[in-house]
Amino acid sequence: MGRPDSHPGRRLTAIAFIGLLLIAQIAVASPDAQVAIDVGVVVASQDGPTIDPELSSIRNQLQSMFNYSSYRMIDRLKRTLSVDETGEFGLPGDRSMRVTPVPAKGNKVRLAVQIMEGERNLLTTTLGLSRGGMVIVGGPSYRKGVLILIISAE
Amino acid sequence: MSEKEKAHPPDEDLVRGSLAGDEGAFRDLMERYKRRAYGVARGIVGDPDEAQDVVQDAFVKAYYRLKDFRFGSNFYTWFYRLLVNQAIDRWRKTSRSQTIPFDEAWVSGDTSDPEAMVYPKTPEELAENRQLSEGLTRAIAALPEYHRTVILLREVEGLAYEEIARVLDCSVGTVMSRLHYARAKLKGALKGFREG
Amino acid sequence: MDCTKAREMIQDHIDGRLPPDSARAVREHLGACRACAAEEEELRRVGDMLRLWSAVQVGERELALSPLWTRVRAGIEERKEPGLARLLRRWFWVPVAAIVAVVALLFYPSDGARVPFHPKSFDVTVESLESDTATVALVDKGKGLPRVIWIIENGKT
Repeated sequence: MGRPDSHPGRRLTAIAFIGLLLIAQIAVASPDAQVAIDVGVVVASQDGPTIDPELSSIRNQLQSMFNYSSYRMIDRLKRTLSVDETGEFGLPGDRSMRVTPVPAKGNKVRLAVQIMEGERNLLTTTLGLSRGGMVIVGGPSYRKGVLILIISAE
Repeated sequence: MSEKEKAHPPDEDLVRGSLAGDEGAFRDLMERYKRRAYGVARGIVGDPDEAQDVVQDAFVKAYYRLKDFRFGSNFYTWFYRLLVNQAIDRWRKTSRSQTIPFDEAWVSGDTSDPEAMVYPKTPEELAENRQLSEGLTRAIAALPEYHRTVILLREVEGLAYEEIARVLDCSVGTVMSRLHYARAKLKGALKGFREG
Repeated sequence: MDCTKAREMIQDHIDGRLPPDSARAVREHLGACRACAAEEEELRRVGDMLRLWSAVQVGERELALSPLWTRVRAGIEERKEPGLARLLRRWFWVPVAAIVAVVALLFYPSDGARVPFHPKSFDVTVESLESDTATVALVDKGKGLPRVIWIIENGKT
């Protein structure tokens, strides 16, 4: 199938090495410049006793905090955002959540969060968390239950 | 083998041929899927040239991963998965900080103009209605990438929920949730236009 | 069937996902209720417009097979190399590939990664909290439990 380039191996090895150095550089130089947001979208209701297997690690907490019998995870969204970059997370029931990391000190993460339902603003909040922290936002109704968002930031 | 089968071999036969070193077989696969692949890529990345690059890269990847294809499963689901991952990666690299707020993406219709109120019935009619076609492009681009992908795979490619779930490696519930969101958003964006 | 119930099922109806009796009930409601019928029509129209839009996009591009095949072939060629260089690369690449993969996973999260939740902390500062259309409350559920922001939509219990 044609004649390949004569020294692609050496060139690619060099590029790979430089690439690795650059990646290492980025990883070390700006650990705070990016925030990985993880959102679990759960529908909680009294519709039967089912707990999604993906929620098993926080099942006890959910059961201590709320009175619902059923917790179903209907979506899991993850995005990595830079400071001042806004990410949009689509939520059921014509809703969406916009998250913008804002400048923070040290190992903390600060997030400006807005939840909209169509044109209506349901929530505007600014939260401070440590990396690896978790917060829960819930309440909007969906089908036979309510939405509970499990928000973590890394 | 019937005449019809000779003229239109099933995908699996072309895969087998490609694996056996038949260039023509892989070319036939490409010919079969190039338009649909472009349609999907175009919907996800937004830019026609990027979409073409994505299709190319996806076919190269497919060529190398053909040996991992499991006979008995759908070729197009397998290929779309490669393609969609390629497209989403490309979209993320080129438009990471460009989240268009949805309100700005609304298709604005001049409702005093009777022409603008009639919905097109053919691609030619849509192409003639610049406002609507550009508005649709913006509205589609404003959807979050996975929601955009789901509605394109469902409405344009006609994949079933289960197939979409396999392409995106997520649950059917997630597919439904994203599809419903995307449809509702696009319905809102089309509000400016009314049936004449 | 009331409108609220019907509205919840319209999209499932459009996608053919409803069991026969529900589908029939929805069809009957749509036959009788103009508002819901209009809603269904608007939602179906989204699909119609998307299909037309895609056809326009694809139509605008000449996707001739020959140039595409040439480019794909070039891409395939790029990956092929003479024997020794390939061996050296394979030996060098394995640890590099592993490191790159780990770093990539850190920066490019993938969809569908069904990883359980492992919160390290529930220590959250709520700097501001408001809503234009609902009542919001910050609820502390106790030690060792996450803080909860609860949205109570006005007009609903």
